[in-house]
This record gives sequence, structure tokens and C-alpha cells, in this order.
Amino acid sequence: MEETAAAPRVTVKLPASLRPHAEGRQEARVEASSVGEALRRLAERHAALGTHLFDDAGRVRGHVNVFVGGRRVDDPASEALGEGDEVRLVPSIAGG
Amino acid sequence: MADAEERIPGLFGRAAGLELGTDELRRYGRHLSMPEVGEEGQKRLKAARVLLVGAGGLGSPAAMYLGAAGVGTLGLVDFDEVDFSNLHRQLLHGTADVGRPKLDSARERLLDLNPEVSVETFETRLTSENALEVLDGWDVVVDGSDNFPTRYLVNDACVLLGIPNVWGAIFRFEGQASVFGVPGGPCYRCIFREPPPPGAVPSCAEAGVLGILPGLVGTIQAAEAVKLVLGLGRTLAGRLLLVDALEMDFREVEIARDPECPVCGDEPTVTELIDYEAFCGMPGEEAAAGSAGAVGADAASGAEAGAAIGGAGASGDGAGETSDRITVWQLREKLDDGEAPDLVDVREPFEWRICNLEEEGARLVPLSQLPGRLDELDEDREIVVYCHTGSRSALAVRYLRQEGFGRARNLMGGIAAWAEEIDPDMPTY
Repeated sequence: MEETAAAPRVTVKLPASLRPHAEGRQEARVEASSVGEALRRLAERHAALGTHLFDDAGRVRGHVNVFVGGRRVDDPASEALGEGDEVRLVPSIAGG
Repeated sequence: MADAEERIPGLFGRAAGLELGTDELRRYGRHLSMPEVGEEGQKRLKAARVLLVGAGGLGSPAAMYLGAAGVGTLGLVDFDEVDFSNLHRQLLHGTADVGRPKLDSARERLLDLNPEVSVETFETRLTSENALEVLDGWDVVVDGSDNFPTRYLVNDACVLLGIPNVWGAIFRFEGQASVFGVPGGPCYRCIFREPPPPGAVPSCAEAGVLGILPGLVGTIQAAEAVKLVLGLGRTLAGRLLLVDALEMDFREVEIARDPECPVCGDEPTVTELIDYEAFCGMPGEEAAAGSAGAVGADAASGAEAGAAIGGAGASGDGAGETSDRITVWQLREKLDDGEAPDLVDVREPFEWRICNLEEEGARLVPLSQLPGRLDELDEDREIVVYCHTGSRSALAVRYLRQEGFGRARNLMGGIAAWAEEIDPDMPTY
């Protein structure tokens, strides 16, 4: 997808389990029109993170949930983003 | 208690037939003086049967608070023994309990806290074969297990049996909690429809956990269980609570039942328990491969390389060909025969200080440093890599082979297996 200067600037919040694959960052700022695009931008920057986010078919993995403004995103590709939105990644963890 | 809502069918009726003795009236005085609980509520707690899966980090605070609160019957499922490395967070167990079955120390601790409580123990690994039998008849299940197959197993069993699942999970400084499997609400599978690829999400044993964190999350689980029993308040059903102890940030996100959920959906396809090890892609010990991605990437240096190693593990590939691996007995034999391989320990320095194979010629190269120290290795020589239990070293071997070290092999089971099979005097952790 082509990035344009008009694409909204959003913040992607990364949980502890994903940070090692994004140089330890707690969050990343990207310009993206949709949730899917935002995640692809992240994956372009951090290849290892992409492996953790997307399966071989390019879909967001089933153990990774995406929330925007506290609301769960069912279809990241079609979920539009607005300026200043906060995208939160919540992968499953199992420690007890 | 006109506002109380019976969330557990039949519980209020069972409670109505109970009485509180004088000792109980004294013990629970601060509950009884709250109109929201009162004597009716306390009798509901006494009538309640709450099963805790795992007597570890989450199970410890949950069980202790539920017992102290007067939950009449507590069930505990665990098969482990107390280890030194448990003590920084698992407060059911003390230093003198190291080496004892966790269920023994847990029972003693709970009965000391509150002798009015009945403790039932199940010293077994929860499996598809026994889970329905173990969970049947409990009013609430508190999931404090520590691995993905058990998480899915507990969820599915709870849905099939119609038991609320008070769920919590922890990782490093972060926790998650919710209440699954109540009518109209989501189950675990509605939210986490697939397990992560094997090794993609490290365990606490590999990645570490702040000792206090299970105290926070397990106590939240206890509160949710008590609210279910009392029929009070608004539970976490339909909400996922995210706890970040580092930022001390508590936030919740909305979650909903998925009508297409294979377990609790409108047309469920999972109507009996399945093979959860296979579902989670964990046929053997190398299943944990990849968990070191986080560990390796922790170090200030080599973070990118560590992450790259983690990425390789996350692809879901296994540990490789049989020749990639070596057992502790095979290594012992090689050493005895004078065929010593280059023995590389990829753990962290603190782990090396607890125990190591230096006497056998091992040297420490923490996983995060490995990519920057390849020039210390000989491509033509046999290299045996070990870590604690074999997962980080599996990653290291995969990486080394990619880099041309074709004779790199993973010591299966790591130094823990060495301690168990070869050198019982070696300190373990």
C-alpha cells in the first residue's frame, strides 16, 4: 500500500513480549491509514517483529489481538485509523 | 443482599442450609459488618468450591486470599515440587519447603491461615484424559497455570462443564486477567483463537517475571472469584484487564464472545477435549525453542542479533534433524572417550554462577553475545551448546547452523537434564 503524506500519524504500543523484536521499544510511531498498514510499517522496520505478528499468509496471528482505543479490531486490514490513534498489541501470555 | 445475583446455579440454596460457628463469626467479622457480604454472603463463601489450577505464582495469592476469606472448599491441582527459584513469588511455599511437593506446603499454609477451610489436592498434571473429572463439581476455576496447552485445556473443560474460568497470566512486568466462560461472555478461545507458534512467547522460566507481579494479578483473580460466589459487583467478563507494573498502568480493553468460536460459539466444533500439546505444536522438549529470543535480546549488546534469533524460532520450525541434538548421556560418553566437543553455555552469567560445566571444558557465551563472537568458534569442530533446559540452545544451534557451523548440536534438556541424569550433586534452579 502506498504511503502518503496525509496518512494519519499513530502510536503502536508494544507489550513486553514483543519488545525484544523491536529493539526494546515500548511504542513506535508510524504513519498509516489502517491498522494493517500500521503493522506492516512496523514489520518493515523490524523484520523479526513481522515474523511474530504475521503468519505465512500475511494474516495477523491468532494469538495477537489488536485494540484501538480500547476496542478490539476484528479485521486489521479494513480498520481505518485517525490522527493520534493508539494501536495496542496484546499477544497471549501464559506465565503463572 | 437483595442486589446479589446468583451467578453459580444452586450455590445460594446450598449456602442457605449452612450455619456459621462462633469462631467463624469472629474470624469473618469484617466481612459480616459489610451489608454487601453479611452472614448470607459469608455462608455463600463457605458453601463455595473453588479449584485452583497451579499452586505457583498466581495460585499462591489467589489460594491464600480465598482461603482467608472463607471459601469453604479449595481445590489445588499441581504436580511440581518446590524449587528455590519459586520462592521469590510463590508465597504458599517457604524456604524449608524446597524439595517438597507443592501441594503439601500449600495445604499446610492454607490450613494455618484458616483451619475452617477444606483443602482438596490433585497431585497430577492436568490432561485431556483427567481434566473433566478433576474440574467437575467445582463452582469456579482459577487458572494459574503456566503454559499454553494447559490454558486451552482449562478453558475448553470449563466451557464444556459450564464453570466460570477466572483467568490470569503474567510475563515479566505485565499481566492480563479476565473472567471467561460465563453466560453471554467470551471464553479464552474467543480472544486468543490460536496459540502462538511454539517458542514465540517465552515462559517465565526463560524470560523472568517480577516476583510481585503474580501477587497483583493473582489477587485480582481472587477478587473476581469472590464476586462470582457472592453475586456482587461487575466481574471482568467481557473485559480484559492489562496490568503493567513497570508503569503501574491498569487498563482494560473490551472483549466479546465470538459466535464463531469453536468451543463456545453458536455451532461449536470442539465438543470434547482434544490433544492440547499437539494443538499448541509442542510434541517435545524442543517445542520451547525460540523462547530465548526475548532473553537473548535483553542484553544491551547484540539486541538485533538476539531478536533475529528469536525470529527464527518463531517461524515454528522444530529443532532440526536428529543430528542437531545430543543427549546428556551421549555427551558424557564423548567426554569419557576423550572426544570433547567445544562446549558452549549460552545462558546468562548469573545462571553460570549457579552451576556450569566448566570442569568439562565449557565456556560462557550468553545467547545475546553469540552473533558477535562467532570468530571464537571453529566451523569444522563439533560444538555442543547448552542452556538451562534446552530451548535457548536450540535457537543457538539453529542460528549457528545457518551461519555455517554444521556440527553444532543442542544438549537436550540442558544443564537441568545433566544435573538430573549425570550429576545429582549439581545445584539446580
